[in-house]
Amino acid sequence: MDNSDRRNQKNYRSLLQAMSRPGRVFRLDALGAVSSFAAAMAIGECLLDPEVSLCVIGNGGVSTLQAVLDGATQVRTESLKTADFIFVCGVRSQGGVRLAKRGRLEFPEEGATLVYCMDSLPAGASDRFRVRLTGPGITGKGGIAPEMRGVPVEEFQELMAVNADYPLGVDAFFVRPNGEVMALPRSTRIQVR
Amino acid sequence: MKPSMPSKAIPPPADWRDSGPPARGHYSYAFLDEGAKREIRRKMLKAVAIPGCQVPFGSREMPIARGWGTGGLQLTLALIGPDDVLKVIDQGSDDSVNAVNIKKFVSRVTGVAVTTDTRAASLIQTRHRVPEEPLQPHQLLIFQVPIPEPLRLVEPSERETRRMHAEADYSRMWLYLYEDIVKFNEITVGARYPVLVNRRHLMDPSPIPRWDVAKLNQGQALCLFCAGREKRIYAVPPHTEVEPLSFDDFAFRAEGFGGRRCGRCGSTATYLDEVIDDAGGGRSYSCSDTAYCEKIRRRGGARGADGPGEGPA
Amino acid sequence: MGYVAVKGGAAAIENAEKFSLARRAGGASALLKPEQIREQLHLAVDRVMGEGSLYAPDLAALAFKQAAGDTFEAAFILRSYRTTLPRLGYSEPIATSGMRVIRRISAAFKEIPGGQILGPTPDYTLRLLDFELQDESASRTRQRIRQLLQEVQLLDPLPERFPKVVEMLRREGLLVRHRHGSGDGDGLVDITRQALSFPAARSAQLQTLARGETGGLLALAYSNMRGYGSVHPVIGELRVGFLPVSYKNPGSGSVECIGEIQVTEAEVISRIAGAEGPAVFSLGYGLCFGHNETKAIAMAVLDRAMACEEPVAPSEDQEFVLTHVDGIESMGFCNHYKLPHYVTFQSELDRLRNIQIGQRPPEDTPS
Repeated sequence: MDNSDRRNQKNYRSLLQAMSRPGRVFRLDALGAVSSFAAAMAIGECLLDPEVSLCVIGNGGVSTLQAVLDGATQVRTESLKTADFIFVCGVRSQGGVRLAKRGRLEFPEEGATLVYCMDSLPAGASDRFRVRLTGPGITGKGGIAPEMRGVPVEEFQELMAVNADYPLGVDAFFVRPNGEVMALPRSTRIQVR
Repeated sequence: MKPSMPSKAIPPPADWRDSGPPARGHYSYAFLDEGAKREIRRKMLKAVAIPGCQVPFGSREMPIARGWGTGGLQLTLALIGPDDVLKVIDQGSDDSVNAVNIKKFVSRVTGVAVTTDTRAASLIQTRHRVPEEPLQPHQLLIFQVPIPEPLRLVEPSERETRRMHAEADYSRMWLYLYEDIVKFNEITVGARYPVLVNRRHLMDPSPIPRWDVAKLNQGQALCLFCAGREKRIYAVPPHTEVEPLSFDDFAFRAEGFGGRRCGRCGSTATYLDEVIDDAGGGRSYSCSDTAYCEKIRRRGGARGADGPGEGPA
Repeated sequence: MGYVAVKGGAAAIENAEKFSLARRAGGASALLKPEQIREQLHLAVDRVMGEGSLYAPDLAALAFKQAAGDTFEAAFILRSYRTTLPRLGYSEPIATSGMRVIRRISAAFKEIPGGQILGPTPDYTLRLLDFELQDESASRTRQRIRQLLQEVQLLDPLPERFPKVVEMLRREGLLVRHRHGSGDGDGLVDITRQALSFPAARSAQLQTLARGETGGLLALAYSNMRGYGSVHPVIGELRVGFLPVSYKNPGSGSVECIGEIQVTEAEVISRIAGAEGPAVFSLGYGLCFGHNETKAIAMAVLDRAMACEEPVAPSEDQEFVLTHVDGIESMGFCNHYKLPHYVTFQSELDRLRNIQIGQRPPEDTPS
């Protein structure tokens, strides 16, 4: 099994566990962790190819990330409204998530997959404890607070709004340069205090 | 757009029998190419994100026949890596001809270790049973599914069943069960009992017995389901509500064995296979989960057993 | 006993393979060479290629040998092999008007430009069992063929191209314009890469029919011909011949011919359609690998049947037809019933016994 296939297989297992256990943090085997986009690339190499489409949004590094993902995977580029995958540079989609496709009732799986490419951990307190996650994959009726720090409450609220019409919605990964990854499928119920 | 056509007929190359494909003994790791694996992986993520919802995928033909586990096999091949330990069972048994065949194939194209011990496995591919031993969070249970659509019992058209799922309109399934109760004072559905997942999607748990349905509810491990011929993937994450359809005054019931024990280990708490012993019709019973049965037997038999019991004649 | 013997599974499988080998190759006759199958059983090879969905006559012949003549198994082996092949690219679209024809007929007209070319067909032979083939003399057969080839030199050559009968009808405004099925976007669907969904695009429909099992397609088409449906087909043109396959060289960018494929094409004229606009004939289209006229005609009839505005008969129901014509799927599922089903059967027994007892037994759910 060649090295990149092996890495993709291992990383995929982490992504699958993350999606099965929303709000919990798992670890990707990022490619040497040289660039700040290494972890985002790890997800890209695992999931992207010419059969799907991508749109990169956000602030800082959009064109770089776009070019790097394009080169590595030959993924098709499409607009925010039609893309299968949306990579967000940074942790705020600035309303972009509202434009992403949410699927059709007969085909809810057509909803987009978001990948938030976060920076290294910012200093300062986290308001993650204001957020409560419940639903499939999360133990206990009381739910959990998201384990990943640094995701603004507003972005959780955006996702909450976009996923209000389950099973329509989007599914999100949050990834840090050190390879930490957390998933939030549309099945997760988000409450913000 | 018209292609440019050659002006003359093209004769076949001088000895075109020589231009065949190179000798193949060499397959990609786990047989499927990376593109096929990637597509299956993407669809699996969507299936996990929408528990119980059937996600279509570009199912490939496998060296085993459609209907014989190509779906489960494709999931296993898309997931598996050198660190995995694989268990394959059919009707609960590791030694069933089909389970052995699948295990041989996966071994051949991956070199992974195989086991019959449920606890030692990281990937378990199963046909029609859930292992008796509860699964751990790191384990993956992959179900082979013949017919992924629970509503097929009441509606042959895919377009129509898709609409029913879109609208969460499961009234015809409820009606079907109700009519059974009226006619027979029993629900006649045996295996493939319809369940409601995450209070939203009606799901076919694959032809597992009713005995195993409760194991899907609030489990510890991710359960993945795949129908190769029908080209659908679906999933039940851990800690997810899975409720069999049931009426307030007519509860869902699992199979009963009338207090019989396994003839080999003495267990009364496992799903039993009924075996016709002889021409006279004598019956004996033994655990369907043969590996678990072996474990109990080696430990000295089931608790409370005074030697292996026998089923009544 | 041994279906689920305690430790007999692996041995049983190995023994089964050995027995099959003995049945195929254990007789006194000389072992078949794939090239003998390819040449002398060429129609079986064509069928296997078409249903296997891989244009590879040598491999189809090999698969047919391996399967001891079972076309379902042979097509299955070919499909499974196809899965292992990487996809390098796509050919240029091929215009069948450029076909190097070996057979070309029309039932719609007595005479057509270019002529009715009967070609190699058993259609008008008397199906009398030919006992002379039992001891076929290689030298005499080859002599007869050599003589035929000499006689052929004295005939006028065939035209290189034959105009399409349907194009002539189109030019006169008698035939429906090119049809697009519902669900068509700009691109072609590839049914080997994504699951069919309904209503299916026309490209998905034709691909499914093209790799469909000949007998299954025939049965459904026959039902329509006999009256469970209303296609009332007339063959506008049936062609058998060779098409060049062109490919754009990714390096130089020039389009090059990389070989030819033999295909059978049927264009079937059907009854007057056109609820809006002028009344015109409608068209059904069939195309498959190799020489397989039954399949091409059945395909064309079903193609037209499924375009029916108000489907009533099974052959008119697109979901019904497309879901049930794949031989690998249907054969696999049919035979899967031989797999052990005793756990589910136990569950059914449990239900039936309870009903017979006619009472609710005590709770017996596991803790």
